[in-house]
Amino acid sequence: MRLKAGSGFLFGPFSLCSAGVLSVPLPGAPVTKLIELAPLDWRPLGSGAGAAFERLQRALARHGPQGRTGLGNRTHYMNNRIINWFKFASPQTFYPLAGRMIPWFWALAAAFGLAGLYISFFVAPTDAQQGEGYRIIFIHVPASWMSMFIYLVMAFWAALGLGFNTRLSGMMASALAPTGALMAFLSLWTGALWGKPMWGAWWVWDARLTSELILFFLYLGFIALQSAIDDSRRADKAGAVLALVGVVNIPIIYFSVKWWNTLHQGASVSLTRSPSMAQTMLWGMLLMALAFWMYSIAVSLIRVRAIILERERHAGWVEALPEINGRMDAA
Amino acid sequence: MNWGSSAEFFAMGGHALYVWGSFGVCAALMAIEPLLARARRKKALIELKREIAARKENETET
Repeated sequence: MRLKAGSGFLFGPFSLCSAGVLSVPLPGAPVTKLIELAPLDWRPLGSGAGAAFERLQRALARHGPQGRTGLGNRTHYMNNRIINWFKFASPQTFYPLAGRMIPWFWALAAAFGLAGLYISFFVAPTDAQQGEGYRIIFIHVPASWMSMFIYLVMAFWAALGLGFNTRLSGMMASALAPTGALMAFLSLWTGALWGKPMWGAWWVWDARLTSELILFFLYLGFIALQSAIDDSRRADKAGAVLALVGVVNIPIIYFSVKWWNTLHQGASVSLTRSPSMAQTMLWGMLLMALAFWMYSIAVSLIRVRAIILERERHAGWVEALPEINGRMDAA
Repeated sequence: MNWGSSAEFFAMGGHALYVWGSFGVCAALMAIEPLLARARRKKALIELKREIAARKENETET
């Protein structure tokens, strides 16, 4: 009890987060006590928010159809618009929506991918210095961009989950991590295969390469940490803290080629100066980046649906799903 | 068009190992990941069905 008061005093709103992290390696009695009590600390800040939205939504659903005249009309419209946003924050409404969106993102990924590959191999000219070897850029750069971008999105959802205690946010963060890890791995793998012919080395301890490797480890650490904690809500919180601390690595990766003298070449694309590469090369790269982006969304949506099913197993709406009631192939 | 023949295309100007090693691994992993994600959802569904069936059986017994 004294421990709890102390940590609450020291860390303020983050007391629960620290408790969540502590709960992994230390099964000792004082810590368990601390963890059991910790959610109370959090309540005034967070846990009410999700429930409050649900209550507001229910109240509006009850009173919505009335007052269709005069001034009331306008306010109801406004309220409905606000509520519609939060409606999809509930796993129950998001699950079928995600199912409907997945085929569209696959179609977009395929379309951008085919166009990008066509430009990569048949339109973009041979590089004057690197010959045909430079064509690795068409997957290396998109994979690297996505590895950083997915991390930012993951940290955004994690922060939202910490702040508002919304269930879906944590699930989104967990669903994004493996795809981000894949992108970081692809970035390193294609970088090694590009480095060997051009620099003569598979790997160098260069600022850009090392910080990208750390990003890969951050993803793996996030996944490992979450899978080590049985309580999914607590796993979300511990993972969120790790994800937010790791955000510091993203600008380090991005600016590493500027801040340090590195073997890695500078930014391929810049907003402030005209591109240093042929127009067709740039287009190929952008199309491939879009394809990777759409791919990431599609696969993360598949995964988030799996996570929703795993976590909401006791919810009534899951039991009522068509795919639970016999029809396995239904969406 | 950059290539005179398909052999030239696959040779990638002597960088075949590096270019195809990159694109090949990328394609393979991007094919496997969605299958794994789909398998995870399938597994969750099967477990859910089993759990619900067990729960219903319990209810009829008591």
